[in-house]
Amino acid sequence: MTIHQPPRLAAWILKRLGSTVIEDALVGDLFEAYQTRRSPFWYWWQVATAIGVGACRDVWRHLPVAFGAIATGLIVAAVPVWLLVNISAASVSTIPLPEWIQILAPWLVIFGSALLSGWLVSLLFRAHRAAAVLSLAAAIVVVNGTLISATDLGPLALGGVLLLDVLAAVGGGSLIGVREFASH
Amino acid sequence: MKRHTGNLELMIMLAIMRLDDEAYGVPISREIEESTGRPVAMASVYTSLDRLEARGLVKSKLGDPTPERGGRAKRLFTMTAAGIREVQDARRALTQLWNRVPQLKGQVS
Repeated sequence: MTIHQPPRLAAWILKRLGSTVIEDALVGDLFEAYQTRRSPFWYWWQVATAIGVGACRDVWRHLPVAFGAIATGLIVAAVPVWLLVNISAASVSTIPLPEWIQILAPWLVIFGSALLSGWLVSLLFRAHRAAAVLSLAAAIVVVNGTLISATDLGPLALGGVLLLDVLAAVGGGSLIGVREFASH
Repeated sequence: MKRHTGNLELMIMLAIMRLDDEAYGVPISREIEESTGRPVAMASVYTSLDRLEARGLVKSKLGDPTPERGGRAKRLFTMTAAGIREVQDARRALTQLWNRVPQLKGQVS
């Protein structure tokens, strides 16, 4: 029998971000079902649902973890932005920098801090990683959405920025080692 | 207070009863998809199964890992006596409600 490997990136995300409630049997079921009649799109949909449903259950079961992750992550994400606003404006602005760096730097700081906070939250709340990282990503969307919507950025650009923010936080959270299925 | 069994939970229990010894995630999902004509997320099936197991309506055990499952074990489900009673109660309640709706009399799809 030929074994068809499911989409590598989706399988990788499932392993990296899979919460404690996503169990070995479910991963095996998705693998088995993929062998018969399923498309990569179907696999991606199942993985997204599994992570979402698993994270919601995890958040519900461990509310203090979610609140802790949001508080920690937002502080970590806010510090570089605060430094950018309050320090760079005073000191760095005197250094002659090319215009493209001046435009790009704030965005790099925003996305970099989201990535850093996702990574740290994933490290600190390793046992409930998906719940912690997805709670943080949702909080970042709410906070940044509120802050950035006050600027003159259009709705499309705002959506793009928030999407990149979420990807940065989730990407940062995915950098921590593979979840151990066997421990479940 | 006794909790009502949801639609998906009821369908899952019926699928388990029909599948007998071969009731695990893949065939249970397939049964539901074939009956409803709609795709079902495997994670939702597992969430319902966990809820049913917590209520003592189904029980599960792990099978052996196989290559066609990427080396992962099946989680096989069976009904408990309480689960079978729950299905019968649900059927009785639904039939009673059904029969009280004159527009639906004799309409069985």
